[in-house]
Amino acid sequence: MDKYAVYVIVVYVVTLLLLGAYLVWLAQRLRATRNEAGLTEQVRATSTPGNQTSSRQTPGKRG
Amino acid sequence: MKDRVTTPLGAVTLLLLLVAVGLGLSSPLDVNQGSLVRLMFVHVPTAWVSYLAYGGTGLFGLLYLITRKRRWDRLAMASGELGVLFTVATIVGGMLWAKPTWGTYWVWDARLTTTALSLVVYGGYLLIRAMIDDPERRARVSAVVGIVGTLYVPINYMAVEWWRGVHQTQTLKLLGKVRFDAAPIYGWVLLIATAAFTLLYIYLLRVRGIVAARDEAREERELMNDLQGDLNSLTPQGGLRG
Repeated sequence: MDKYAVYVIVVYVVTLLLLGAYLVWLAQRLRATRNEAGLTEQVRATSTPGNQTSSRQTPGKRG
Repeated sequence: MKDRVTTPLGAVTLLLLLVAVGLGLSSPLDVNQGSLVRLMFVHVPTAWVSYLAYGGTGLFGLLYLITRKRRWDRLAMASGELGVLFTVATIVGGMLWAKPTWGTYWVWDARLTTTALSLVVYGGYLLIRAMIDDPERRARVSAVVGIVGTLYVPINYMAVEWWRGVHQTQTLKLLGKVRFDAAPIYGWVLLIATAAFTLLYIYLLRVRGIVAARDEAREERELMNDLQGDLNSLTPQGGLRG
């Protein structure tokens, strides 16, 4: 141990935090695009020819 | 298809990174630098990955130009972005190492200047990508810029030899007879840390590639919706079925 031991740990933390921040941003993007892809799949499934009528009806008009 | 690679790769990367950090922080003190020598096990691997990432941008760009498969373009973009990230990490870590050893955070030394310029080159690469809407043209232009940008890597690597400044010459000499100018224990720790950061690059490249593929799919969907809307507005009854 010398006087820079803690300083070195701080530099490690700063570097890893920087890379970690990018990873967190990437994970958020991944989650957002996954949700988006899921929604698109749902829309596609409900708008296929067999389901077209039901997908266009609004809940209020069914009665 | 279920992705069976990304999560295990992330787990192995995290494990190896923890080992590398543990070894780095417990490595023996240097007679001149004391514990500051331990910064080498973060600074050198991040610099290595920035070179690797820039090399990847050029290689993937070249593969795109040869095959015209968009997958290579996405990987080139992901690699360029990672290059910028790891260059920033290299500069930040290097500045924090410079302060206690050189007495200042920054000097316009050749290596520092060429590293800062590489940020400009790859920042420009990402900027060009953002400015072109047509995907094919964007891929083609950025592939050429990426390949030209890769030529800058050897200049950055050799800067400490060609223009002597305050930055030390390479600890690991790769040209001519390969040699490591430090105690062997540092060599082993550096090797493990470099392997860990290389795995991190591969992992991040993979995840960024997946995000880029989904972004591209969304972009195409939006384009198709716009086209559909334009066609609908052109027909007399406001619909194609007329």
